[in-house]
Amino acid sequence: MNCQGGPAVSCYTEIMAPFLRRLNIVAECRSAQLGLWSCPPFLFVLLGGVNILAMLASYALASRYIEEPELAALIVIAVTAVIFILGNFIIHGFDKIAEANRIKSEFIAVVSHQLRSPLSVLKWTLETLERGGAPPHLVQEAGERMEILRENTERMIQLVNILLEVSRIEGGRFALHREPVDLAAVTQELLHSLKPYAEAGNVVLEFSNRPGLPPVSADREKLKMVIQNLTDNAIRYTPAGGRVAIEVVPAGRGIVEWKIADTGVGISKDEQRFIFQKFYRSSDAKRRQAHGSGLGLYIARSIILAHGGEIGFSSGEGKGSTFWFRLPVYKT
Amino acid sequence: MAKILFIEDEPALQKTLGDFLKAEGHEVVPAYDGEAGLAAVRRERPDLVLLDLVLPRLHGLDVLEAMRADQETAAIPVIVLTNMESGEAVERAVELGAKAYLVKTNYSLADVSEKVKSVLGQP
Repeated sequence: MNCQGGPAVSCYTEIMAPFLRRLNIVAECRSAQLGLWSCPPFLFVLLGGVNILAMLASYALASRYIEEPELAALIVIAVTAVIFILGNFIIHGFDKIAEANRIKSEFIAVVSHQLRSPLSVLKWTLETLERGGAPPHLVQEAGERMEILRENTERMIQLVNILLEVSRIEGGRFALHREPVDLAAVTQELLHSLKPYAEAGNVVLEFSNRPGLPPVSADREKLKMVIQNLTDNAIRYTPAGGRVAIEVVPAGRGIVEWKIADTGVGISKDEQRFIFQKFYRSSDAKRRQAHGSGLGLYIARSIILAHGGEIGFSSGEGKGSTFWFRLPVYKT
Repeated sequence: MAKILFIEDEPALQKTLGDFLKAEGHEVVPAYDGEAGLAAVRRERPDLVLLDLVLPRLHGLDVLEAMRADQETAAIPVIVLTNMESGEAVERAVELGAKAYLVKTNYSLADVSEKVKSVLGQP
């Protein structure tokens, strides 16, 4: 703290600011993302207040109704009950804090594992290339190993970008730059890069839209991320010979719907309620693709909800899945 | 010259470490998920198992547990080779008799190979 030579008042405020901030319990509870009724600092103050008031009230009543001691006893019982209830709220508050802490540790454990996977590939592949000279067959494969390095570097970059997106979502630092976006045009653009991916898996990727649909109000880049994610998933979980169809259709007044239907493996009933959860990876996801982050659908959902839109799906095991989202039309 | 079963779902890791161990003169049998790995343990009777933990179909710790429960495979030494840093997983692996717990990013191919040698050299 550097307040030498400054005016005494500003120096005083500078020193006191942290204490004053601590006194602002509501702000403290908000920064800890706790509701007032599960925020221990607030509850302790409330408890103190209740205690003081109860003392004063019982003194006033006891001196007035000195002949009726059962009245004082009743007050004591009532106050004890209130304290008991508040105590329960406090315990619940601490539980919530512990839970948030646990989720954070889990987050770090999962993230470090996800980041280490491509890193270990990079490390060992580089080591192999460095030693290349010794066993002759390793040298011939240098090109192939370069490809592995390139792929895994890309994987790391994407993972870090996804994590930053999640941290922006969770920190509420999620600015949307809305503009009129033609859903069909954006989809068409992305299809250029997704088509080869579908063809490699021998999956037919189709797109149909009704001409003349109004543009939606959305953040173009974020929307691209959603479409990319949903299309990636649809292609990934559709076996060779299958079909993925994207459609953009009107869905009632002032709403446009984007939907993607696949003939893939579908999602089992048990797993349906978890798939939008952070880090959730279905058993099938784990089986099919080792690299998923379990964050794609979580991010897609957060983005669509931030736009005031809706997102959902229908699916049956072995019957394919249809994912859709709806966004409001851009109003001039 | 030992027969090593390498249970790991990442093809690039199978290739790098697999080739490295082969170059050192070992026979390396790859398995790409937990179930295939457990089947290979029973079929191949390897001298040593290198086991990843986060595996499709069957978790590495379940593979280890199943190996220990079966008298015929209980004595095969196992080195856990993973990227998980969970205290619980380490404890459980050691409890189940894993000879070593190596975090992949913290070990070079040569380090892993050294570890393999030292575990194979143990009586």
